[in-house]
Amino acid sequence: MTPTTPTHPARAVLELRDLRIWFRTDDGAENETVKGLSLSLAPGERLGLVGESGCGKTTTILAALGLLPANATVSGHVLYDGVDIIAGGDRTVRPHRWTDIAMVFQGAMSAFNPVHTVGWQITEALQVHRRFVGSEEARVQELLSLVGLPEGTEHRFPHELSGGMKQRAVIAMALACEPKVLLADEPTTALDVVVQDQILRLLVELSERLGLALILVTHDLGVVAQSCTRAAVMRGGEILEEGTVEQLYRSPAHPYTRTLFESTPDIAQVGARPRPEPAPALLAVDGLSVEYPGRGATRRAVSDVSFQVAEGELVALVGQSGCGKTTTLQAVMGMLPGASGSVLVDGAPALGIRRAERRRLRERVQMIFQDPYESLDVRFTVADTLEEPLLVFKVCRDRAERRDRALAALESVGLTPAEQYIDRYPHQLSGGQRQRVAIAAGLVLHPALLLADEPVSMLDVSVRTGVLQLLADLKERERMGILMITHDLSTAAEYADRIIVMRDGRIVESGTPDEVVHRPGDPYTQLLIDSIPSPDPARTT
Amino acid sequence: MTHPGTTLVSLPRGRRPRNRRRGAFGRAIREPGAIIGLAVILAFLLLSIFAPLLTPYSSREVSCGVFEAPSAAHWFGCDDGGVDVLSLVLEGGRISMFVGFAAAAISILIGATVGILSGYFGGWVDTVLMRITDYFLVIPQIVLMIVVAAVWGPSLDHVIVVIGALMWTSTARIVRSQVKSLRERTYVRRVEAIGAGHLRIVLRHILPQLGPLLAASAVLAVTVAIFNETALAFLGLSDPNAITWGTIMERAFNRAAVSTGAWWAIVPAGVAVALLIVGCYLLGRAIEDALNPRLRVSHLGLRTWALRQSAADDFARASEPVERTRTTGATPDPGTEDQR
Repeated sequence: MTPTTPTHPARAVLELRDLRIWFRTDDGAENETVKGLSLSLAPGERLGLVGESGCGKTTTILAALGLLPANATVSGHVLYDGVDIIAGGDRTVRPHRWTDIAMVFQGAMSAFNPVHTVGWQITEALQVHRRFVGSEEARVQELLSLVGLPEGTEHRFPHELSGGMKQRAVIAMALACEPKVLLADEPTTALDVVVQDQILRLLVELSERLGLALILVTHDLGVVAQSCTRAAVMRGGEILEEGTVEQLYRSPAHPYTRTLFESTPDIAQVGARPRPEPAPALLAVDGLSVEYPGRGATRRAVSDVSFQVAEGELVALVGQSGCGKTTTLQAVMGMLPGASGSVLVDGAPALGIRRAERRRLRERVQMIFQDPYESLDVRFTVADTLEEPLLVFKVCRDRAERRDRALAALESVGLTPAEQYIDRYPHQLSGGQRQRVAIAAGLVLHPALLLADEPVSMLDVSVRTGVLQLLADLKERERMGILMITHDLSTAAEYADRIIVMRDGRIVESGTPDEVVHRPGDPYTQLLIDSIPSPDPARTT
Repeated sequence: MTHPGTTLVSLPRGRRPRNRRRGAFGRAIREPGAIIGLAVILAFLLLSIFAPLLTPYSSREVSCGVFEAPSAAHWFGCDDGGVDVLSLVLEGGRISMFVGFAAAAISILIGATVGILSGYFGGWVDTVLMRITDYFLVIPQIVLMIVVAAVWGPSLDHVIVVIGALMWTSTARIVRSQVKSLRERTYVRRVEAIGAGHLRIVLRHILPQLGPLLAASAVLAVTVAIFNETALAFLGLSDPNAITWGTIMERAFNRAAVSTGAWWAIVPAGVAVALLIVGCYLLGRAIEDALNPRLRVSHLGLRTWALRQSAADDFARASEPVERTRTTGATPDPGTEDQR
């Protein structure tokens, strides 16, 4: 029952053979989430497991560590060094967990207990596994320097570390017992692009130095191309294609792989586009500053920001988290009465206005939110959601007219035939469709300006293109001005007419995508561009 | 994903989609506790509504001897005045339950209003309303009820108002915290960004989400209200002419039913109060549990995933994937095998 003979010439350190996983739902039905998956990982090899949300990639590596919840059923084999470690259930996996196979979890930001120092928590891992007895302190220091954290980090508390440092500490913790295999589940998803680049470099370096085999689970092909040697593309619980990253990029065999690569924006391919002819400015922000009262000193979230958005123009506001881009957007919505400077929408001021004026402003400016799963009321049908703005502003005479406008809005966001979608509930729509409905709800009033807050960051790669293309179409067709904020410079470069790069509440650079990407004037922009992992494996940064 | 657990079935029946996920009510009503509770409440409601048809004797007329023991003619015996106890209990249930439900309704109304205002607007509105709530919370309720009933005079209306006006604090606090979290949800902010007013947001987007929460609160409030009414009546602070479960027990107690050994004059009314309270409590608890799915988190338990032996990696199964009978391996591990 337990095969002990190696199947590969170079004996695999970890092999998954015909792995199947079922999840039992509350009503007793079983869903097959992973359907007969086989993978093998040679010592020191770096394998990328790529797929969109819900494809079973995280479930697969959780199964390899025996960490599935109680409603899961597993069949197949997980061979570590030729021995089936899941043959006896949890009991036989436990001795291998952390000592042979370790894991870096998705939400690494919250992986630490806030009331203990980082050093204490790594020591705990060592003590649990009775490793380095008597020399735990030295081992902790060794581990922290291994992941590039400065001396003395072991005495610091999690909240004293930045996101990138915490991620490094999590990796140090995973390496505590000298595992041979490291499973990393979206290790950089919550990080800014510059930090992501550093963490990926660290993982590659560790794998080379320690001979560590690595499975990197991610939805981002760029991340895989830059840090792995081999990759497996998953969809619907199955591996569609497997090969070296070079192979997959140059000659993808499966159409799905091709779609994935095509939807991953490549910043190097941004070319010069014809400048749109000058149009009247729709939004004019001049000398905008926003201060938040903090403990002691006031904090400036936005200082002296000036820019314009013209009719039929898509402007992208790019920056890392905390750079003030969301605050700028809120000021344009007239939601921050305390902001100073001037914001003119269609000639009307948006700052320091009264309730009635703000209401009129809302008719001209609509907003799209980041999370399509949260931005629709679950009890409202698509029709209810779309007719709500019309009811609020009493712009239609009767029900029939409202429904017509709702149908027209659905058509314009590409949900056709609209009759098929209008009576659905949010849970009957996919993430991309929900985001389209949310956009349609912003369109029924025929606004002049659309504000989009990270409109695609929660969506799967293959859906992103469609939503972004929709925004680009709307600006062409309806002559709408669109201000989109995003952390992703490559997305911005592909779709925006103009890019504004923000840092620490200031604009550091603005220009056409071509100018910003190929001739950046600011070193920070250059750093951002260099940090973006390219889907082309040959182009290492 | 948003939790459909916090939804209220608010749409006209015809427009509800069939494949919509069950809300909190739908899940709660499948619990055995909820079914029993609901059955008890419904039974009491029906008995009260049809009491005039069901009572074998008039509750005001002398139909038997003083403290006559239970018999086939008088199932629950008779009280000190020779009145049939069964008739009294059935009749008394009408008023007791009316008082209970009315007082609960008042308390939910006040509690929901205070909670929504304070959670939605926050700031000084929240501070003021919550301090008032705190004030009501620390008043010893029974004592104040006694004082008010004594000052205003014994009357059913007073009892209802006093109970209702003192019980809303816990509802207000629960509703407030729920509204505070709903207010930060993206869809509420989106509707706000559209330009909708406060009234529309509260009535259309926030209130419906509170439905199950208010229902649970209301059902639990009924138990407290009925209990308090009985207590007040037993202390002689209710309308002496009204027949309620509390006054039945009070009268029997005062006329020395205990020392005469006539337990049947007191026990039926007491059992009725206890049954109804347990019924309400079971139903309220079931809704509360359904509202908070975290109480049933399965992956934190001691149980782990199960292993299904693939029969020697057979190829046969690949051809018939429907039939997934579990073939037990050579060395079944009891720790994982019994999970299925």
